[in-house]
Amino acid sequence: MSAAPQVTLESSDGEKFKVDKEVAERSVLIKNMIEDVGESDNPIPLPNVNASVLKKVLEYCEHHRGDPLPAADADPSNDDNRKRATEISDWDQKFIQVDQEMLFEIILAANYMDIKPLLDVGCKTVANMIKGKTPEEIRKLFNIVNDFTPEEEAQIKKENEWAEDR
Amino acid sequence: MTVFREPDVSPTESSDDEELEEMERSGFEDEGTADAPTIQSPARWSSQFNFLSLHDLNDPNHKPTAQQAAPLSLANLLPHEILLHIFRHLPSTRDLYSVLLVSRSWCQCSVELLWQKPQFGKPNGLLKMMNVLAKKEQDSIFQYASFIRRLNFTLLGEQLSDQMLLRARKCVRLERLTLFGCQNVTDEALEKVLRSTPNLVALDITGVVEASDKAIIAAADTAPRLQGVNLGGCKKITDAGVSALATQCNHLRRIKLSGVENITDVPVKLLAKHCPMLLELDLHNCPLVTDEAIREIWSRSTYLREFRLSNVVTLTEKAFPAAPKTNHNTALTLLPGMGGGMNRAEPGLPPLQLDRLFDHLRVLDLTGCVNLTDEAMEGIVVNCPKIRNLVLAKCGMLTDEAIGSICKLGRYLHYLHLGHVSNITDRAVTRLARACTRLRYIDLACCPLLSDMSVFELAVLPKLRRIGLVRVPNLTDQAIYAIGDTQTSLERIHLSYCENISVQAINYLLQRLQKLTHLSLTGIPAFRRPELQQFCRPPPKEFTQNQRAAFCVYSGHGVVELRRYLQHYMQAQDGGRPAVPRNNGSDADDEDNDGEVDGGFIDLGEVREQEPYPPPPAYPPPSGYPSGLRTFDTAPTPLW
Repeated sequence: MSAAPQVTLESSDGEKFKVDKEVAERSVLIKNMIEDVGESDNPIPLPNVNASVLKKVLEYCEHHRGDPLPAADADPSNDDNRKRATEISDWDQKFIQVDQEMLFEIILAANYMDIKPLLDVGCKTVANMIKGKTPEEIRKLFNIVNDFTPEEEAQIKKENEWAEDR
Repeated sequence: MTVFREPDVSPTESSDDEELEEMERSGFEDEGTADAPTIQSPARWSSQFNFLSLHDLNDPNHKPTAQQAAPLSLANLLPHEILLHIFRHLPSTRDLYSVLLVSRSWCQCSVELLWQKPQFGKPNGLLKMMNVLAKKEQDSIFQYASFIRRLNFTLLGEQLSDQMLLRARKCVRLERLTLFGCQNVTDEALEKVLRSTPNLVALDITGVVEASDKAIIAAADTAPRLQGVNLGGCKKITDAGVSALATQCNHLRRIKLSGVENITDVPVKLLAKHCPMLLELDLHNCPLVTDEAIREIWSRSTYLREFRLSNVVTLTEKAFPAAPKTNHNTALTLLPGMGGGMNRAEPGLPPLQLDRLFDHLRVLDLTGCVNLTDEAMEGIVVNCPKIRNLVLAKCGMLTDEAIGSICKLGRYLHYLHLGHVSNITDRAVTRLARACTRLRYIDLACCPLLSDMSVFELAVLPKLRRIGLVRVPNLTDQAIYAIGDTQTSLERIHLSYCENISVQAINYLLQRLQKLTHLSLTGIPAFRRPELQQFCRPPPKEFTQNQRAAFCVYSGHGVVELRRYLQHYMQAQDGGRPAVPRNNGSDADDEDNDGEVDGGFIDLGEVREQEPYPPPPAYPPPSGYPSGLRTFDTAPTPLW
């Protein structure tokens, strides 16, 4: 029985990962690269993703290798999809329990590599962390700098005050 | 949020139609094709505020000191597309508002999401929001008006002024506008707004009484993608307005013309001709519409799901598709070439033969179509085999034969209203209950020929949620015991003016049916006592003194309180025995309970001489009850 076709991926820090083509092609970026270049033994460079993140991403792709591909037109602003905001499968939930920097690294990598379901899992996780918090609590949680000028902040507050008073 | 509210459909005096409305209040939510496209980019600051973006995080004047030493976390550096993606998963306004105030880039990426479908629980917030729109655009940080896709002024109702409404002209991307009950809006203001909103998909001006053809023609001219229009109660709108919609907005799916009483066949025919996607048509109280136009709908609008023709009183059987055999009046067998009724001597329209099934139809409301015949009903069922909700209240000509046709709907039928269809008998209801086993709601108000037997049959329906039996005068406690015995899912029971019903039977019912949320007992003598009426809800304001005295409707917590009261009272009267010993898992006490019947009835203070609580139901059931249908050996144990 012939082995499944494999490809090699190279992280930004030069580490090489040999994986089944089917797994790598969960990434639309890689799928397109393979289609453009044709199959070759040369490693596919991923200059935006370091080894520890790539390892994590490939773990996700491996687990979801057989999943049907998401519909391209799934519109997250659609109400139905927004309602599902908190729904993350058990495995994904466990998978995404990582420290904050890794969480954002995974999101950035999923965005760059074009792995929409992984991007969704990451973004939903961040959204769930935000829910119910005040602006100050959110800044503290993510270590975000408040770069509004005081005047600007006051005016934004005033113009959007209705949202408090619904 | 209620995007789209319906006018009261087919009101009958028997029981309310909330459930139907709930089921059908699908609104325009499924018009996903025209839903807001995903926001792809962050909002732009208004020009005056552009300089603010020059604030760099390295700007020494601007950098909060606490952050100076620490390197910026990744959260500060996320590209806008990812922030947008995250914020799209925050459906609550409160969370979006918090996010908005976190930082400049978070603000830019959340502000449009916050504004696109604003929702309000009280008027104050809506007023504040509309006041922001009144500002000059260059004085605001963002061009908020351009973010808004939905506006719903139902909360303001008559308080909505033209001045306030006219601010919506800036909302050029508006897709849904709801002005339900905003009766002080003028036609001129409405027209101006509708001339400025080319992306409108759904418009609801129910109760905007001043609206005229001018405003509607403006909508038709400006918003070719309109899919849902509700003009309920806009009596000034005529054929011209609705015809413009029909000819210019060919994507129309739902149009509600309830009470647009001046329209004739003309716009209805145009709708049939030009709007092939029509899913919902409401012509309630449009008395000038005739058979001819309705036939066009049957012939062309194959996708129709909901069709309301209540109180279009002139309709005859010719308005409806006929069963394939057309020779109703003769005993002749059908010969080739005889179809279409061409040989019949009757003047006027031939029977309507459809060349394909009308099998998308789920809701058909024919309330008050007094000329509807059994034959018409046969034709309707043959051609529309999947009707789910059928309202035939006040179709007084229908007989058992019509019910025989309805039985062919079988499991598709969930909701059936037969109030005031006074000719029907137990035989028909028996057939119905055995054929349409998924009935959830049935109303038989004012069907005086029915007896307990009908209820015995209906009581075994496994999915029954509501049963309306108002003014079915022959009903006795046996019917009530039967319901209590077999029903578990019933939530609402209407028994007003079933004068023979006793307190014990209702007590039994209440102890058995724990899911009950509504029980109407108006006009039942046994319940006309202050200690029982204390738990019922207040009578409607417009009721006369007499009506108030008789009013006896329990809902929600009132049902719970009545249940508790009766249970305690009955127990006390009965020496502490549980009110319902049988099959009641909570009470183990089922010692011998025979022979305790006589004289055990309680006096609730006002029992008339000849109206002691009647003896417990006699089992087996009285003659007329078909034996072997259901055994009654588990009948409620007599207590009194």
